[in-house]
Parts: sequence; C-alpha cells; structure tokens
Amino acid sequence: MSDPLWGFIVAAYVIAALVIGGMTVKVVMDYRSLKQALSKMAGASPTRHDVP
Amino acid sequence: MPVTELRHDGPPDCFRGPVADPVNGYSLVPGVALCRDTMSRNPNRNKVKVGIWTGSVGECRELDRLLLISGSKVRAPCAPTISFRRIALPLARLYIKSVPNIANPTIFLSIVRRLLPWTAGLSIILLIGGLYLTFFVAPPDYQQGESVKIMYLHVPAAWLSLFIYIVMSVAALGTLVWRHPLADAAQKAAAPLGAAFTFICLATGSLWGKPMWGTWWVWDARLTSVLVLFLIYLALIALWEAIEEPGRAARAAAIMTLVGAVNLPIIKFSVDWWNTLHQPASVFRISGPEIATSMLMPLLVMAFAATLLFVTLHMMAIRNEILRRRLRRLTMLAAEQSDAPTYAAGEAAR
Repeated sequence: MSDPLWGFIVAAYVIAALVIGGMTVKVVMDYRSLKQALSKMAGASPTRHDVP
Repeated sequence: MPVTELRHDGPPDCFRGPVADPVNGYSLVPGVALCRDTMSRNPNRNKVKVGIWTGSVGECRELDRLLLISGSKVRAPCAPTISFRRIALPLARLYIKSVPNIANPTIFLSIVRRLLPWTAGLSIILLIGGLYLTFFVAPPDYQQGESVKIMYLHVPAAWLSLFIYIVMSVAALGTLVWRHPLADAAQKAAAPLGAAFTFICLATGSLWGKPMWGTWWVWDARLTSVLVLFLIYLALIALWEAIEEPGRAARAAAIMTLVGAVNLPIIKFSVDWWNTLHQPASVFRISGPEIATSMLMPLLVMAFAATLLFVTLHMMAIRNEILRRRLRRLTMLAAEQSDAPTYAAGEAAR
C-alpha cells in the first residue's frame, strides 16, 4: 500500500462506488416517493367511473 | 352447447380427437371454428375464440389445444413428423404470446418484482467476487504495476457505456417503428445509467492516465469520442426534461438516439482508424484475448457484475417510469374532475 499508485487506485474505486451508490439510492428513493404519492392519490382521487 | 375436446398429439399444427359432427371422422371443410384456448394458464384468457381454419395444416391461428364447439370443422389429423416447423412454430408462438405480455406494464411490473431479487443478489455476489479477484488474486502488470487494478473498473464501464447506448438505440427503434409501449420508458430509464457508466469510464481512465501517460487528459480520438458519447447522454436527459408531453419527448429522443448511434463505430474503431495514445482492443480480438488468464478472469467477472448491475438498475428505473406515468394519469384525472363542476357551472351560466 506504500506504492504511490494506490492513491489513484483508491480514488478510482471511490468515485465508482459513489456514482453507482448515488445512482442506486436515487432510483430507490424515487421508487419510494412514487409509491407514496400513488397510494395518496389512490386514497384521494376519483375512480374512472366517477369521471363525468 | 356440446363441447368436444381435441387432443393435440402430433406436430403443433395437428389435432386428433372425436368431433361433434363428423364426416368420416373428420371434416375437411375449411371455415371458421369456434375454439376455446385451453393452453393459457390464465383463467381470464380461457375464453371462446374464433379460430380461422384455412383448411391447410398449420394455418389456423390461436389453435394449439382446443375445445371444439359443436358445428365447428376441423381438418384431418396429419402424421407426426419432425420438421423445422415443429421447433419454429412453438418458438414463434412463445414470442407472440410473451412479447405483448411484457409490453403490458402490469405484467412487466410483476416480472420485475420476481426478477429483481435474483439479479440484485447475483450482481452483488459477482461484484464481491470480482473485487476479491482484483485485489487479492490478480497480479500486478509488468509495466503498469498495481495501477492495472483500475482497468478492472475502467474497461467494464467502457463496455457498458457502449452497451447501454445499443440498448437505447434498440429501444428507439421500438418507439419509432414498433410503437412498443415500454420502449420509450426503457430508453428514458437507460440514459442516466449510460451517463453514469460513461462518467466512471472517463474518470477512471483519467486517474489511470495521470501516472501512466503523465497527463489527466489528451484530445485523443478514443477519449474524445467517449466524451462525445457522454455529452450525447446528457443531451438526451436534457431533451426528456425539456419536452413536457411524453409522446413527443419519446419521439424526439428516439430520433436523437439513432442519430447519435453513428458515434458507436467511431468509438470502437477510433484506435484502428487514427494514431491514438489509447491502446487498441486487447480482449475482443479475432485472434483471441491478449491478456493473461489471471487478469482476464477478474475483468470478465467485473464486467458480468457491472452488466447485471445495469440490468437491475434499468429494471428498477423502468418500473419507476411506469409508476410516474400512472401518477401523471391519476393527477390529470383528479384535475379533470375538480375542473368539471367549474366547467359545468360555466356552461350553465351561458
């Protein structure tokens, strides 16, 4: 680990982990917020038959 | 109405069994037959259908195993034979049956719900295995030293950046040519993932380039064309955000995706067409991979893990897109209903 190249290697893996982790968190959070909004809408909104 | 079951015991296009109104056992008269599809496991689909029987073997659509309703006509059974049709027809039927089903968002969501744990779990296992092979098994390169470990990240990200664009191009064709209902959702969901993997490719390449080439960046044909790919991804994301109406946004993005696909062969062959600092292909070569097995194995495992990770994230993102569209429809429905009394009052006031 005393090799100066390790700084570059660690930086590369950290950047990749941050990007992939960020992407995963974004997709999961998006899913949760959509499910929450949909369940709210399903409770509050009219059904198709209610539409005049 | 008397119903007679016909057994299917020949090639897929042959049917045997007693018929309700036999003429010498079987009727040879072509025509319209009322049929019931009993092959479907979905009870809702087990409905009476009208099968068109042309009188020639294999040309009656929807007929696989049937309940023949009284008065229907059926062709005489043919002798079982092993033929190309025997393999091709079931495959074609499977395709015809499954593709529209996958195109149905509700069915797609249930498939995703079942598949996600497997793809996510497998990609995590492969990622752990790949990282173990990278850091504890793969030897340092005789020239690059330990910095070769960046390659196990950089190369799969580069492959995926191209692969995702190919997926988007196919989806763009699906939007423009086949009007597949999920194609634009697949395309929209893939763009941020493509941008992310292309960014990883560029960033890790730069981090590898500094110690090996002595510079973070050169305007090399390969590097520049990958940067252009990254910019195309960003432009596609911006395009989707800029056009509010999803149908128009999908068509515009599909056209732009197909135009941008011209960059793919440029990226692939840039190292052959121009004198570049970037090395030529060393894995996908006609003469076989140039790198040692001890380095190839971690690379392939990491590539497979990254691909599965993309598949997992892509399915999740498509699911989100379907839910977003449902939410949009419900919001519009609610808005329509809340506007309806006002509209009615306005009409009454006139």
